[in-house]
Amino acid sequence: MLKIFKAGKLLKIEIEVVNNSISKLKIYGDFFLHPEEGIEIIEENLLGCSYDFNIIKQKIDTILKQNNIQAVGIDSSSLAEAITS
Amino acid sequence: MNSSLSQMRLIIDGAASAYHNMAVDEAIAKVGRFPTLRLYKWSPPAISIGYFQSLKQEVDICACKELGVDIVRRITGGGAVFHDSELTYSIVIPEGAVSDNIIESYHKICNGVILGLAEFNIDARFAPINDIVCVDKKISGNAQTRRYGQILQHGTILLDVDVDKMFSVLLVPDEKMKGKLIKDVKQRVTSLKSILRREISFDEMAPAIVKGFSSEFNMSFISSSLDKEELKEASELTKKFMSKEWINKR
Repeated sequence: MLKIFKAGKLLKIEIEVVNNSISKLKIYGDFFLHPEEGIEIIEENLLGCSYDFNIIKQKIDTILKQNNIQAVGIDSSSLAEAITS
Repeated sequence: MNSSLSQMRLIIDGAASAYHNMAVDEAIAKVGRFPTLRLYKWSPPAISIGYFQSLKQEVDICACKELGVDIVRRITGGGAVFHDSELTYSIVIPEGAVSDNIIESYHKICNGVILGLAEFNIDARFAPINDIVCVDKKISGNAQTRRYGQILQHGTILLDVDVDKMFSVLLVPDEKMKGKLIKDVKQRVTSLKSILRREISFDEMAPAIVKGFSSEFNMSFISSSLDKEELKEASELTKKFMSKEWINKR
């Protein structure tokens, strides 16, 4: 399922949810992440996560902090909203 | 703490393929020997997509093939860009030479372009995150990556723009809205030709951009070219940018 979401920058989400948890996830868009490889880290670490805005937002915050990833044009809130919308 | 640069290498390149252009930008950063400002052109015309974009969602691959437009994935984020009549710059400087704050660093580097445009009495300003606008119309898009201990930022300065041609190779979310979208973009994007009401060439614009960066960074330039190691690195990286694996990464 492809979703398009406009935050600061554009986000396009491809997602599969099974038993209310994320089984597949791809995040596309014209945003910036530093380092860029952080996107794969975010996608991998959200697999198995409950399909819930607050849980996903908190998980993303943790991933960004633990991996020293700077997001520009998106944030955990807009990303979680795009994923759960 | 920002370390100051007093001298930078200047490379003014001719037109090259999208793959070569992206490879050279990354090679300069990877070798990281000389802070460098490089100005270059694209031949043939090309679409570059950002690191995080989906190739098949953004680009009409068949149309590109028919029209002889190359497709390349950048190592930088940001959106899809159609490279045709433009002056492209790339700057490679050590991390620490500008702010750790990404948006502040975009602003600082874009000021080099803005001062360059001012040489032609063009009143442009920085529009965060990464645009330069003139009277609220976009004239330059920029994208930055930080790797190899370096900051690489590259950006376009539109000498002329053909929005219809751009949309003949880009995909849009809703085909039914394409006409409206094209009309929208024509309102929001401009070019030097449009502002100055005359043709302006790369060769005429280039010295102004060099002067702009020289003023913003308070330093002098030494004209030079890639060294042996950078050429070797660029050759290897060209293969990466041309590879199916890289272009289909996402």
